[in-house]
Amino acid sequence: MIKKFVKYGFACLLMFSLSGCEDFLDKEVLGYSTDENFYDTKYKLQSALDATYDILQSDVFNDTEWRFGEATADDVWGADEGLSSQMGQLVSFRFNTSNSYIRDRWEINYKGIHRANEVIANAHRVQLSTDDYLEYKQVREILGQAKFLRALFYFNLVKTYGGVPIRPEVENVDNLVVPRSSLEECYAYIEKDLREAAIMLDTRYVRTDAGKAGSGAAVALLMKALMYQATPGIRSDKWEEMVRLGQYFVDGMSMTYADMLKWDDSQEDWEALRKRLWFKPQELNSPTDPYEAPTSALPDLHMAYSLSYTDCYGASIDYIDQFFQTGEFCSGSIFEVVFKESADGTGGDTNEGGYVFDDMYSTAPVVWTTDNILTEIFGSDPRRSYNLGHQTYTPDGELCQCGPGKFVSLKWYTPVKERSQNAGDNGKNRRYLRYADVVLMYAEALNECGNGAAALEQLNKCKAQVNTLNNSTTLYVGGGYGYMRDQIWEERRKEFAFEWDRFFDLVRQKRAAEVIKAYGADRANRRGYYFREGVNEIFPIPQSEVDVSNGVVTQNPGY
Amino acid sequence: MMKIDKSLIRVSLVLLLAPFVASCDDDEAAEPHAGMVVDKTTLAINETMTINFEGTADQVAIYTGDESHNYELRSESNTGFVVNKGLFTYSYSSPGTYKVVCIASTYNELATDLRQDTCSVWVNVIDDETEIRNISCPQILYDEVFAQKLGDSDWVMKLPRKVKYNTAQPSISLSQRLKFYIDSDSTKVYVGGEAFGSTTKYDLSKTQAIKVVSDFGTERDYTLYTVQYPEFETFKINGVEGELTRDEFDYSALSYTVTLPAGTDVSSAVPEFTLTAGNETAYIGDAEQVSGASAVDFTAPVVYRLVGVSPDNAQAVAESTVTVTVNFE
Amino acid sequence: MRKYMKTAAVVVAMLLVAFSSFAQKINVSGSVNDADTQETLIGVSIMEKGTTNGTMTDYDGKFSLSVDKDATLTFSYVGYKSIDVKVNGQQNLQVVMQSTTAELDELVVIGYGVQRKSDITGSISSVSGRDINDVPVSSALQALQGKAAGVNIIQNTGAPGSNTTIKIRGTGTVNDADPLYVVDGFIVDNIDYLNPNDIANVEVFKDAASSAVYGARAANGVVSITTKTGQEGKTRITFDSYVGISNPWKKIDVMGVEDYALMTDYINGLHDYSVDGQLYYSKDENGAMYFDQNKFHRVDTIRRNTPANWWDAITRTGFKQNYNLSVSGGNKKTKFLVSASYYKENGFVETSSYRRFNARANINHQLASWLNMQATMAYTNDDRNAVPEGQNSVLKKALYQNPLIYTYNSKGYWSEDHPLAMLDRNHERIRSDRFDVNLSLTANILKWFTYQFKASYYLVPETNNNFTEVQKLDEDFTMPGDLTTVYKRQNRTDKWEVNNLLTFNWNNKVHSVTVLAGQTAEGYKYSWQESTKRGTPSNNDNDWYLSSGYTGDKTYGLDSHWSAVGFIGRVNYNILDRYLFQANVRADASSVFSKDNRWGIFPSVSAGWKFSSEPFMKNLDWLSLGKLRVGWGILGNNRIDELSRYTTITTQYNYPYGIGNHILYPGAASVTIGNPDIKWEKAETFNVGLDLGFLENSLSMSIEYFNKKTTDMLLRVPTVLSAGLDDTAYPMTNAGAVRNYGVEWNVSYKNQINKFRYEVGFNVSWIKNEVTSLGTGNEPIWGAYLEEGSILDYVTKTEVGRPIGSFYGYVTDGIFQSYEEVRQSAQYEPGKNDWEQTTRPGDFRFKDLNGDGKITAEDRTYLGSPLPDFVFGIPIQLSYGNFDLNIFFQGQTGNKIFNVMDYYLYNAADGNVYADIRERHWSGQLNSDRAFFPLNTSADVPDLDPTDAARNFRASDFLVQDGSYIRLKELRLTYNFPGELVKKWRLSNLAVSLCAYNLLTFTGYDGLDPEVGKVVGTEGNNLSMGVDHGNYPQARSFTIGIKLGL
Repeated sequence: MIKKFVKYGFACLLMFSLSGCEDFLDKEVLGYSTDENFYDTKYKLQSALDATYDILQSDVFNDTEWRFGEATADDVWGADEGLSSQMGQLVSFRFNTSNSYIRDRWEINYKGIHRANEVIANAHRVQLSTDDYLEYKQVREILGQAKFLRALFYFNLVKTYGGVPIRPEVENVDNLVVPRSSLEECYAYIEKDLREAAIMLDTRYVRTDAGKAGSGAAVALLMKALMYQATPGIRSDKWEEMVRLGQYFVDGMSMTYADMLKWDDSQEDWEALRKRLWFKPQELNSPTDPYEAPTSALPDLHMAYSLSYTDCYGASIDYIDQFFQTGEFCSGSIFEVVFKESADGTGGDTNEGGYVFDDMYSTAPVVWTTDNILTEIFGSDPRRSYNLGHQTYTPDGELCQCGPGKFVSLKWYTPVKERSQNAGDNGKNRRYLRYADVVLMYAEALNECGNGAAALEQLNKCKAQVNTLNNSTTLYVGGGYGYMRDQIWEERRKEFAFEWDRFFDLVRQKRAAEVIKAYGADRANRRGYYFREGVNEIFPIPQSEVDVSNGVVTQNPGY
Repeated sequence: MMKIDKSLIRVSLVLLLAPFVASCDDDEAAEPHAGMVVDKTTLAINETMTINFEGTADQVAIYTGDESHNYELRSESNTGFVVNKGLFTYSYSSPGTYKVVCIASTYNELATDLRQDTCSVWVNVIDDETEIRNISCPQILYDEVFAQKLGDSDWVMKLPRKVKYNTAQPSISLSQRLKFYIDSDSTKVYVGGEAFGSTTKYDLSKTQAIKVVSDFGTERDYTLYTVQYPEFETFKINGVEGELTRDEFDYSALSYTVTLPAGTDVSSAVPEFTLTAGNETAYIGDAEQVSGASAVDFTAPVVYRLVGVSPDNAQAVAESTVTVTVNFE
Repeated sequence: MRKYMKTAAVVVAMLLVAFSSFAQKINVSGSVNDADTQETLIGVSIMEKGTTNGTMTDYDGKFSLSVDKDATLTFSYVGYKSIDVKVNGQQNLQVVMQSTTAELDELVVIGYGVQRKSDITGSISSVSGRDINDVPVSSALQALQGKAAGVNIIQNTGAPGSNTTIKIRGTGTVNDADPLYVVDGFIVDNIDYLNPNDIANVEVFKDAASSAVYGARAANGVVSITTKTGQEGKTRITFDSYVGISNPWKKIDVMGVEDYALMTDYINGLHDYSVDGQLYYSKDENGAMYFDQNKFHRVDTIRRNTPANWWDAITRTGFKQNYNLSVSGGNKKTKFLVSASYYKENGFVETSSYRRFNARANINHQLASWLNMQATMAYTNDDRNAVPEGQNSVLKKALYQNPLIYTYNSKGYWSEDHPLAMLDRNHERIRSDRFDVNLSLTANILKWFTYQFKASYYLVPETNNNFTEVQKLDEDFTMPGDLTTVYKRQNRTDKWEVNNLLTFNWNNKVHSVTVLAGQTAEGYKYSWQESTKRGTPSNNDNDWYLSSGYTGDKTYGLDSHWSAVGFIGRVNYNILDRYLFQANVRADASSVFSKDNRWGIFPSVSAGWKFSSEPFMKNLDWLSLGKLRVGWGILGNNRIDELSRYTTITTQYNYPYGIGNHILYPGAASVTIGNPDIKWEKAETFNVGLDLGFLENSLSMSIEYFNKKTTDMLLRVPTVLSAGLDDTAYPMTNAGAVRNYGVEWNVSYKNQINKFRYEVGFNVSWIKNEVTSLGTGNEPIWGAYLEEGSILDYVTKTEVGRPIGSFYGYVTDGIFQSYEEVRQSAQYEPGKNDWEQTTRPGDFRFKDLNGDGKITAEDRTYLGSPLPDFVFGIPIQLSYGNFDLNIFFQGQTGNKIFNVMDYYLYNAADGNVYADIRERHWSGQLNSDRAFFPLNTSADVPDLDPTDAARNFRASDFLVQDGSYIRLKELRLTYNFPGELVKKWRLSNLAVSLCAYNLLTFTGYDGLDPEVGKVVGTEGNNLSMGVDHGNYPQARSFTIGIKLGL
């Protein structure tokens, strides 16, 4: 009896332990979401989008923005410019392909693309709680912002490196090495994202949503992407489309969905496109829901932004205030990188703009300008006064102690009352896209398309706003194509001085070599003098990328 | 018995320790071998040269031979480039003949044995840029006016006779500075046989022969024709002189306003006009207009097309449009 | 796989049925003990005379056999005289056996069973508990150091209760290369909790043949520990104890206040304390020297208000004490052992201490004639006060502390973060408890079958409290810019394991077969939560609680868990006791891997040939054992992050929106990509060994060659940056490969001349480690980042063709004597005048390895490996009459140490320096301020520079030293009181001993101790071995001990 019991008992024990062991081995992941279960609600998709925005406020992102957009050009010079430093090599154009800033800029923008791709690739996994039009719209807006951000990161890469690898939206461990696409393919990819974002988003986001990219940001960036593809002096459809977009954005001329998308029904069915972009499918539409057809007019954009500066509550503000807290999300501001003072100033909190801001306007700035450069840029322009020098008081009475002969820009100054309690933090937003940029881009496109008179009108709209600084009446006067172009470029340099875009503007104007070399010839350390025309307009692909990809990612010519 | 034991122990100890003794590392560097393949030895400026290292080495350095990378001057702080993964790319910014030296180094742990092998290749960098990207007159008042390209070697510069600037209408001289856009700084330009000077004024009333000589020595000839935008010197209807207005943005756009007494029939008026130069012709549409002969209906604004042609090249043409509007008193 | 397992189970079940009929006889059980020591004898062979019926004692010394009522049983055991015992109907037999001198054939624990040592075909080092119990150290692993060939044990630091690095046959992977620990047959995650006195035996499984039954986790070898159990017979009470003192065996001579005052003037070109090298002197306006009272007073006030020597200020005489009490005994049915111990060590660095309390009960009960139960319960309580080590080592600080400071400032607070302040402000305390319950049921179900059910559970709650003071430098506590931090972490480990084992044992005169089939299941869970809060009102200890803080609440917590199942199969087959075969297979599945890669099969085979038993060798009476062994097998390593196959979403990438006050919204993104394809690391091992015993095994030796290839090593291989991943979170891939090969040699000789008995041994292993692959592109792996100002870099590099974690840096090439030499070197900066050069005469010349004309990071190379070439141990035991003398030497050669201490103590840029640096540094009299100093251009230490502008002290060969040493680890004299005297005192035995531990160390190494393991804080990987941050050195201790039995 006992024997039998034992016998079967053990046989059973063995069998028992065998069966169901697969279930026993399936352990769920605790404390973490995985990509398999994360993106099922719009709340989670929104947090993935927030993480994409987060790249914009990272120190590395902004650090590479000023180093490449500003320091390499002809408006400033800096503290760290010996040839033995990576920075010195960069601004002297005597760097090698392993330069760490060249690597940083590549890496951080691709991090942004990775995060944007996560939003875009997973957007269709969101389960809606109701079938309301609003629900669709909310998901669509998340997707649209991700597209805008993806385009922004690619645009940064393309203007820095030329054609770059276009990452698959869903990454796979086995295929991480992606070869470069051509410049045209990259721009087509960027344009497509921006055109789609432009129809998916509200014109601008206000109140608690301020800071999110609206369709204004998408159109502005689209104009910029078109402008970077166009060549001054050569008429092209890029210039012409800029004019068309300018008419929509600045003059208020209406524009349809199909126009914006350059939609072609042989390429994609309208309903399929709508579903892809999270428009509420036609078959589910209730009679009260709006329906966006190819021929529907896009929302009026030009009413949402203006050159006459009003703050986010509609009150008028001074020109200079647009760069301070009162001017955050003002009518002239299209897209801002939002910073927040962190709770306690600890290092683990990533919401700190301190590093870059403190370096731009501090007692030991990383870059500064000088009196003679300011004279060259501004002449007698009133904007010159918001570049302060040694022993100069800021509007709120603080003394600027950045050192003799050094001038730093009030655009990066945080007034005392706006500062965070904790040293090292900064809550000041970075103005990324301004309406003045759109107006001047429109002006430039008009001039390129032979409409100098209209160009002058736009140019002077911008200047008139500046004149409010000192009640000046000086305006630009008309002239031939070349004269108008030079005036627009001059105005761009003044208006966007120290906003980290000068270098790329020079490159796309096809005169970087001329300007930067001339600037370098005058400097003691000859920074910029070694700029090589035809080579240094774009930077090399980081050497590690070439190495790790075993040459699949090819190097730029001349490096 | 004990004897055997002892010798056995001894022998076995020696045998057993043998592998330990034998295992000591042989601490010498491997023999380096420098070898490289350069994809081309004649290069243009800024053209990428690819060097593949094909030897054996722990590390490879390349001296490219140009300024501050000259191997011969390495004791004077000239430096080389480190080559990762056997691939090195480089381009030269100025023409010349350069000795590219490859150093292959091997060493053991702590580099107590450091060996080097070198090999070299001469590369010729030539600057053979003769292409003019653009020609302009940089100082047409405040404007920079660009020439247009006609075929491979001909450029035509179209200049206004006068421009409107604010309220003034200054004349534009045909003695102008020129600006050449050429991608290489080493390329030399000769205008009318003289070396080009950026502040020299050139007489554009005649066709200028331009010679471009690259650093490498290649010569290329261009011709710059200048045509001024044609204008009416006078324009009269029924003896009344028209009033000229210039477009400040477009030098080829002119307009005349002729003020006639009220009730004048202008449906078939015969205007009298003179053109500023002999090589200029006026058209309405494609119909050539003859002063004092061709009748025109001025009830609506009329657009004249004035065509000026260079005497030296029929292709070098400048065209203006003149819009004539008749007002009544 | 699953199907296959099911089929196997059915077959096993059928076998059970097939063998179910046998004839009933009487069941004899009992135990076998040593006549002298009363210790149980394991593996005694018991045969019913005239039959093939037999068994052997298990590792409790018990046996059970069914025999005829009148049978005679022959007990035989190698090293003991065989005896015959008549059964005469008795069911319980207590047998004692007399030992002969030879004792080769002990029983050895193998995975899930035991085996006679002479039958072993795998590679197992066995260390008796006796060699461990008496060593005055806190952990069993420490006591094991040097005792087994092929096993390299390094104390990471000498701090009380600190952990240990153990490498069995080399470093198999850059990941966790610790062996698998098995205690009483159960897998545990470490053995630090064990009381060394509870250990009966330690076996180290070094090759695949012996480890393969542990399959998926045994790639780095197995350390198997058997704890003591109770014996049948009179209840025995033993008590042993030792107390002793400890101190560092070495002191480093650094400058005192006066020397340093002189030096600092010289270095900085000042005259604060001296002039022209004359302390306390000044020059008057005529240049005449005079004694300057001010200068004297300046130094004197410092001297009165600061320790004369910072090292002495933070060290003390350490004290350790250990008490063990054990009660054991039992009868035929029940045996028990209850023990309790208390260990307390106060380290020789102030405040460092370790305390452990252990209690253990082991009960063995015969439930039925065929069923035995064994239960173990254990409790451990650990309490450790650590001092700062690693990068922020307090010992390092004590050596390089600038002596010209006051201990306290004028307000009575610590003047700066000097060593005394560091210790005073260090409030980290780690306390853990551990409960273990093991149960094992053994059933002799059928004639040849034994079934065992084993289950274990343990639970470890651990609490870590820390408090960070405000720096009292800010004397009036104005602004709370600097807040206190209260930190509390609590974690809990739960682990259970169940084994079902079925053994089949059959033999006759020619064949002997043992088959083991088994199944195991395990579950593991680790939960942690930690909280911090900042800003308590004071530093006082009643404010060291979370509730005392007012801001900065941060709480984190997470559970992680895994489960595993395994199936075990083993066949041992012996023919004629000469030809030995063993085959193992284990199939393992772990929840860590995805479904497709979950199962791994780990086979091994081994064979042995006892040629000494061959008829043609039998008459060689000087050869008592000759055995050739060869084995091959594949093992796994699954110690990876459970999450690596998932693309996890990380929160905290927040972003603010909204006008006015920007509101933060949560952001989440993945920074890595999970790799669902990851699988086990695999180690394929081959080894061949020769065991020889001469002269009745008085001389025995073994030599063994092994070759272990680890493949599919789990690595994060760098990928293109455009993938947008974090560079610390590249996807985990099975990419790397490492090879370890070497030779182990072991010899021991014992003999007796009248009352003088001696035993001398020598074990040595030579191991070569080589990385053979690091995945696509073979990108090297950097390790051991040093934050020292002139270094600021990784100092180890792991690259294909090199040992794991080799040191990497620049190579010095003498010292520049003139500017002319600088000008011609790669360190010259063109376009600068001599005086503007960074590198000047007196600085190191570095070798330009690649010839590119400049010194860059590319000019670094390998500076040696922290892994030793040879590791050896020399045990010597002498006994004369009642005296025993144990001498034990241990050492290693060929390893390199990166001496961070040299960085500080040669470098005038950071505080104090070596006392003899005055004579040793380069002095060229180039500077008029230094003209008085004697010229020394043949020095090997660069000129003293308060800024180290030329980065002379970057990572270079100058800082890497040979770490070879030989150490007299243990010297112990024991007196055993004579039997008559002991009996008179009604004791069973009594011994007193004197022990000197780490008495002598012979080494050329400059630092505090040549025994340098992993840097504290980076124990998880093998890339920071051998970096000496001024590690807590091994203590030299003197103890006196007593052992008595009732």
